[in-house]
Amino acid sequence: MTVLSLDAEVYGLTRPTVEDARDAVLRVHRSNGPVIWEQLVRAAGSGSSLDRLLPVMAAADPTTRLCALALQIRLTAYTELAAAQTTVRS
Amino acid sequence: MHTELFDRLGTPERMREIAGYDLLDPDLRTSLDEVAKRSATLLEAPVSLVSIVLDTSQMIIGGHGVSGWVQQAQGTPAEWAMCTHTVLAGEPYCVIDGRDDPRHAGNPFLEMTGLRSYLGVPLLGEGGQVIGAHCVIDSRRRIFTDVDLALLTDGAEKVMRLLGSYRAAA
Repeated sequence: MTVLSLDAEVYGLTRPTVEDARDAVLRVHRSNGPVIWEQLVRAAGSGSSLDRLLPVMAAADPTTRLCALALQIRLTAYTELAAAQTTVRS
Repeated sequence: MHTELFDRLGTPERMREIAGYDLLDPDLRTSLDEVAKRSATLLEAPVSLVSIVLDTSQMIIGGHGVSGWVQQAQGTPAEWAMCTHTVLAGEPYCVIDGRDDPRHAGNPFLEMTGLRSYLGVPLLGEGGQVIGAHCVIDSRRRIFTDVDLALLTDGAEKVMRLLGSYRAAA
């Protein structure tokens, strides 16, 4: 059975990262982005992973919540497709 | 990641307008599923979607004929979504056959689902931002008619009336 690494591409899609979450927050909040990102990271705790950040983002302001929804869709799509690809290869 | 595309989709003004709707309300979702089912039936298409295009993903808030990983994710990456083109164009967007269309050559969504043709109309928010699209997608090569477009546009108007009833509390 083939096990995909976390950074493996599936149909050109990569698993979303903390950096992607940061980019999204900075994108939609522009000048307020750095402060909001700092608050999110603090709330998620030290060594924040995407799995810890997404619930914090989903409970934040409505615009940040949308970023979390979008990242969750990408994460679920990636996970489903990676699982299917692994099944096909095994 | 597709930074330029995400920057175009994720403008603060557009995202704020989308955030003004209570998109997760279960009653809204049920009503939007009905709109999608109606459009699919009227246009004799296997798939119809009501989508909000966020900064990095297409979020399906109403659907008919959706299955597999798209159903599990309740959406697709924005760069794979046909509705992204409709949103960015701000006008009806049509694909007769994605297999022959250089704009969609190699699109994993089409390759994996076996879908080929698309007709989408934009969803225009009250604040003037294009927030998403209502579409039908078919598994065969298809030339959509003016009647198809009129029916889909009527569906989109129903969607926006429904969304207007689900404005998020300020």
